[in-house]
Amino acid sequence: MDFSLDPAVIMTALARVLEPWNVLMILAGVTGGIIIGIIPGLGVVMAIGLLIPVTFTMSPEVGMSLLVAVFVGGVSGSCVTAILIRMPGTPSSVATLLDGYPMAQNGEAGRALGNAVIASFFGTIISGIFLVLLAPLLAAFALKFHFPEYVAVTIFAITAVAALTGSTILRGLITALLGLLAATFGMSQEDGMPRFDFGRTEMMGGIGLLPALIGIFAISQVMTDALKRDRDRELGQKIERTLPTLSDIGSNIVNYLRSALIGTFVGVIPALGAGPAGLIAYVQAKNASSTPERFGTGYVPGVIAAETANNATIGGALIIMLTLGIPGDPATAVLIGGLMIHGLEPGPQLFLSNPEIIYAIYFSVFFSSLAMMVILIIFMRPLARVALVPKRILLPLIVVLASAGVYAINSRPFDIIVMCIFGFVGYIFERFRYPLPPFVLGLVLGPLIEGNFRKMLGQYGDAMPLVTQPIALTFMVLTVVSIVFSIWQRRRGGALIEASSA
Amino acid sequence: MLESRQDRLVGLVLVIGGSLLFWRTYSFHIVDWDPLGLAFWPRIVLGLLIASGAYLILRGSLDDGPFQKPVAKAFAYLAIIGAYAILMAPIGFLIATPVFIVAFHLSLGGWSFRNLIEACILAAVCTGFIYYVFQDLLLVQFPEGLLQEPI
Repeated sequence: MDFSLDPAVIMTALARVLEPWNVLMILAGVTGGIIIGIIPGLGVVMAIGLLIPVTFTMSPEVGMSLLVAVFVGGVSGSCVTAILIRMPGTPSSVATLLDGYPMAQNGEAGRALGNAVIASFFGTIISGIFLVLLAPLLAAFALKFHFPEYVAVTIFAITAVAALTGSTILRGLITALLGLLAATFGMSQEDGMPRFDFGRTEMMGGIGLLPALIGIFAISQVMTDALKRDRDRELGQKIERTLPTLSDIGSNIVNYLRSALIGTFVGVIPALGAGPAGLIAYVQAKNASSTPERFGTGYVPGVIAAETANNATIGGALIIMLTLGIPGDPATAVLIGGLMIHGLEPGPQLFLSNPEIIYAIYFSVFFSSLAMMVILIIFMRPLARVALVPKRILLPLIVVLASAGVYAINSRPFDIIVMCIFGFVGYIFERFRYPLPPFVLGLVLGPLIEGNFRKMLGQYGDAMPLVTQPIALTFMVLTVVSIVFSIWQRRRGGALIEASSA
Repeated sequence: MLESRQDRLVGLVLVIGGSLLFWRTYSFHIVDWDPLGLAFWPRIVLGLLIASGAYLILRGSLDDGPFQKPVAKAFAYLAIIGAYAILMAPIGFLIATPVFIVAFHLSLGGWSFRNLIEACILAAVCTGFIYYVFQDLLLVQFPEGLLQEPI
């Protein structure tokens, strides 16, 4: 495969991307993507899918710029509702709300949004650089992932998050197992047969990801907030700064780089997605921090880690899509459709036949992330005021918006009932201090781990490849290390508390 | 009281609920194309959950950290949301939503003429806006319920 950079072609692609009509498309796409990311239930996948026919009459460069811009805007926009009202529009923003929402509650909504936007920008840019420079290398790495490697990486992701987010490891593991169990409800992806449907046709489709996510985070928070005193007096408050301080950025350089690396690698591995990337980066940032106890209480590095990583999956997913023609996630699967409508087949051949398209996509990623940052910074101050709206107005709006968004996915009122049930589950989990992120990870990765585990047993006859294949073994060792590290960290924390109280 | 028993209570729910679901796996269809079958993976997960639950019952409390007791009033608010979810299909989005918004607003802000007016304005604006965005712009068909024209 020849992936060498040709300066003449690069300049041609840059000139095309910078044409006024193309810049306008990028701005429109990013704005639309941000709005779609903010509205629950409307993912980037749907938006890109709806726009593909529109791009048919455009040149491939302009069409792909528009679609990539929607992709970047959608992934970035979902952080807004996660931070302001604890409603993750997509799984990608679950890790963001862990510290973003407490910051908003502490009167730092603007600072949380500002850091999230800058982190999204850095995440996209860093992964874009990987996309340009290391695409073939990372694509070759992704091709080494077979059934044992998938099982090992999902076990690592779930265990690391379970071990490091709960007050005890067992609580995290239990919620992760409950997430894995919830993922088995409905039609089995492996067999096409129903499980735990209890004779009800509504259950055949299983537990929808978005109803569950919005239920355990947003509805449980509505239940909690409804009991608190109204905050009318806060309406008169001024919004504090919305841009991150230089110290916020300077003290998190390593955090940006580490999280972008994690996001890019997770993005390269097909089917893992931005949600797990954000959570893995979040726990790694917590691991590396000298003040891990501040994570989850409204701590800037938590927001930065999550947002950098989930946006970095964009570059990762594009790497595998462009170099091998493999869709890393549903959004890139639809993006492939955007290329094919112009008669272009993603894969090694595209680098030889139409390199200008490849470079145009590269530049679109960079300019879209820049446009996303500018647009979100302009609208950040009015957005941040949402956190100051009195709860008697805000909470009914959240419930209606959440219900409409959840209903919009499949036009099923049953999904709204599922959302309420998970609101109850989330409320009980939080009261009993059982962490929510491992549950989300279990629900998201459940089908992936089951399918690959069964195929691995079918192919190899046993689970030995988990310790005989080098990549799988590496992830299994990392799993053990994350558990041991978590135990050591808790004992050390306990010893420090005892020493300070003595 | 509940402080020292919360993990044990969770353990009990896991053991009983997990056992019932484990029993349920025996009613799954038998497939002949995969020797592992439909129940293979759920049984592994349920087995681990039941074992964790049993450990919690034997161990008791996992730690003595800060405990937040569930508040009964929170479930009353969930009941209002649940009623909205259940009634949306039979009575329709355009009726259920304003009624829910007024009811939820008054339950949060307290009963007064000023609050009632505010709730009614909020209900009209919010319902209209969300209906317009989802139904007209995004072509989502909300349940019409009582407003459905007879065929």
